Amino acid sequence: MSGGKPSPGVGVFRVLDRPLRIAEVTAAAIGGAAMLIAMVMTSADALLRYGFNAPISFNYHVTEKYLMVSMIALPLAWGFRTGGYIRITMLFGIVPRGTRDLILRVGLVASGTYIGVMAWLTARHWYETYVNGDVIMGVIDWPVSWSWIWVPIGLTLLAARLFLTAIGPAADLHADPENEGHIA
Amino acid sequence: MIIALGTLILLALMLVGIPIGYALGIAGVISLPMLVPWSSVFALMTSVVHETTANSLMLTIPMFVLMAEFLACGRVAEDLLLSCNRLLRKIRGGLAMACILAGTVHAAATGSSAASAASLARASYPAMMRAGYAPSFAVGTIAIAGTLAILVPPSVAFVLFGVMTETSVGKLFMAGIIPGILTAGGYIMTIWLTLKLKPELGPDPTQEEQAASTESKGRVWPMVLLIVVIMFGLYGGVATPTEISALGALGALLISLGMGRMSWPDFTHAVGGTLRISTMIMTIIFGAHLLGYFISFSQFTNALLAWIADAGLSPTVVMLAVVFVYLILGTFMDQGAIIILTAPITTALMVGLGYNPIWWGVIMIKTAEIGLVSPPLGLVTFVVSATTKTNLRSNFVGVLPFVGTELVVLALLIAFPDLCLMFTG
Repeated sequence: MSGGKPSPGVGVFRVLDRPLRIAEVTAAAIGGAAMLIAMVMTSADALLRYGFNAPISFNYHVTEKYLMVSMIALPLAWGFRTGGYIRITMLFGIVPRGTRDLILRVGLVASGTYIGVMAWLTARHWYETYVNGDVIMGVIDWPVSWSWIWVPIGLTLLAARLFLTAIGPAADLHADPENEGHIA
Repeated sequence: MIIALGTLILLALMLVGIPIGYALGIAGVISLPMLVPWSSVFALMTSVVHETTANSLMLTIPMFVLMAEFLACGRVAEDLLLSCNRLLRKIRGGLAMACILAGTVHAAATGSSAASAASLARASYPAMMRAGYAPSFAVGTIAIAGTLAILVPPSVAFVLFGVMTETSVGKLFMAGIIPGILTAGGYIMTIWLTLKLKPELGPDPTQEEQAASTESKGRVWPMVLLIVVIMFGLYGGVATPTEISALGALGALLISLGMGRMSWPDFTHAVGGTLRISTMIMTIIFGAHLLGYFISFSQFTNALLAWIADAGLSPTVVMLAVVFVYLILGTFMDQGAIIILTAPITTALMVGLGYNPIWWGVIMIKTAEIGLVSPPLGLVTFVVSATTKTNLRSNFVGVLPFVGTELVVLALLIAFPDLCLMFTG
C-alpha cells in the first residue's frame, strides 16, 4: 500500500471504477439540472408573486421536498471524487508515507461504513413510505417516497466511492488541491 | 466527562485525515449511544440527511455560490475595477483603493470570498503590476478585498450561521452592512498609511494615472442593476433570502450570457463548482447535526454556563476568550467548517451570557474573515497566490498591515455592538 506499489484492491478498483464514475456523473448531472430548475422556478415564483400577484402555487413543495433533496443527495459521490471535502492534513508531514496512506484507507473505510449504514437506513425508510403510499396532504397530495428516494441513491453511490477509494491507487487518496473545495 | 470523550473522538478522527463532515458524523454516532439507545441513534441517522436538505432556506447556499460562479464567468470584477479606478486614479494608491472598492461592490453580489478573490485577482493583479506596485502588497490588497464577500451581505457564511443557530438570515444580512463598510474604509486607510510610510511599495501617482488611462472602460451597469435588485429585495423586505438568492443566480447567469462571456465549458464549470461546494457543506452539516444531538443531549451548554457562573468569570472575559480561540482556529481550519461545527455551541453560550445572537454572528464571521488571510492556512491568500502565481510566504507578509486593521475593526465591533445592530430592528 505504500509508495508507488499498487494496493491489493487495485484490480477490483479498475473493474468497478468506470461504471461507478458513469453513475456518479449521471447522478451529478441530474442534481445539476435540479439546481437550475430550482433557480428558475423560485425566481419565476418571486417575480410572478410580486409583479402579478400570481405565484406558482406548487413551487414551494416541489423545490423543498424534491429538487433540494435531489440536487444535494445525488452529486455527493461526484463531489467527493472531485475533491469536494475538507480534511486536516497537519500531521501528514510527520508521518511516513506508507503509514499515512494506511491511516487514510482505514479512515475511508470508516467513512464508507458510516455513509453505508445511513444509505441502508434511508433505503428502508423510503421503502416503507413507498409501500404505505405516504403523501403530504395539500391541494395536491405529494408522494413522500419520491422525496426520499434520492437520499439512499446518493448515499449508496457515496459509500461505494469511499470504499473504492480505500482500496484504490495511493494517488487517489490525496485530493488534487486545484479541485479541492472550500466553503468560505 | 462524556462530552470530553466525544470531543476526543472527534479530534482523533479529524487528525487522522478523515474528511471533517464524516469525522463529525462518526463521532456523533459513536458518542450518542452513551446517552441514548441505539434505536434513537438509528432514527436520527435515518432522518438527518432528508431533514437537512428538504429545507427551502438551504437553497440559499447553492444559489449564492452559483451566483458567485456565474459572475466569475462574466468577469464582472474586471469591469468593476476599471470603473472604480477611473474614480480614484489621481490619488496615491488609487488602483489599490479601487481594488478594495471593487471588492466591496463585488461582495454585495457574491457570497463566496474564495470566488470573489479569484475574480479580483484575475482582474487586478496584471493592472497593479503594470502600474508598478510591489507584488506582495498587490496580492495582500487583492486577498483582503476578496475577504469582504464573507462579511458584506449576501454572504454564504451568514446563511450557514443562520441555519446552524436558527437565527434570522435577513437580520444577519442587515447586521453585516455597517461592519462591511467600516472594514472596507479601514482597508483604504491602511493602503494610504502603508504607502505613506513605505512609498516604494506603490507607484507614484503620475505613473498610476498613466497606467489607468490605457485601460478600456468597464461595463458596470448590469452588475449595478443586479446589486440594486438584491439590495432592494433584501432590505426592502420585498423577497425572502431564498428568493433573492435564486434571482441573483439567474441574474448573474443572464449578465454573463448577455456580455457574451460564458461558453458551455464555463457554464458546466460553474454548475460543477457549485455542486461540489454545496455537497461538501451539506456533508459537514449532516455530521454536525449528528454530533450536535450528542452535545444537546449531554446538556453541555447548560453545564458550561453553570461552571462559568460558579467560577465567577465575567461574561466579557468569557466572550473575549472565545473570540481569541476563534482567531486561533481560523488560522488552520476552514472557516465554513468552524461556523458549522461551533456556532450552535458558542451562540447558545453567548445568549446564555446575555449577548445578542445577531451581534455574535457578525463577530464570528469577522473572526472568520481574519482567518481567511492569516498564515499558515489563510484560504484566500492561497487562492490569490495560486491565481497570480506568486510567492505565498511574501504574500502573507503583504496582508499583515490589513490583518492589523482587521483586529482594530473587530475591537470596534465588540466595543460598540450598535454598529452591527442598528439596522436589525
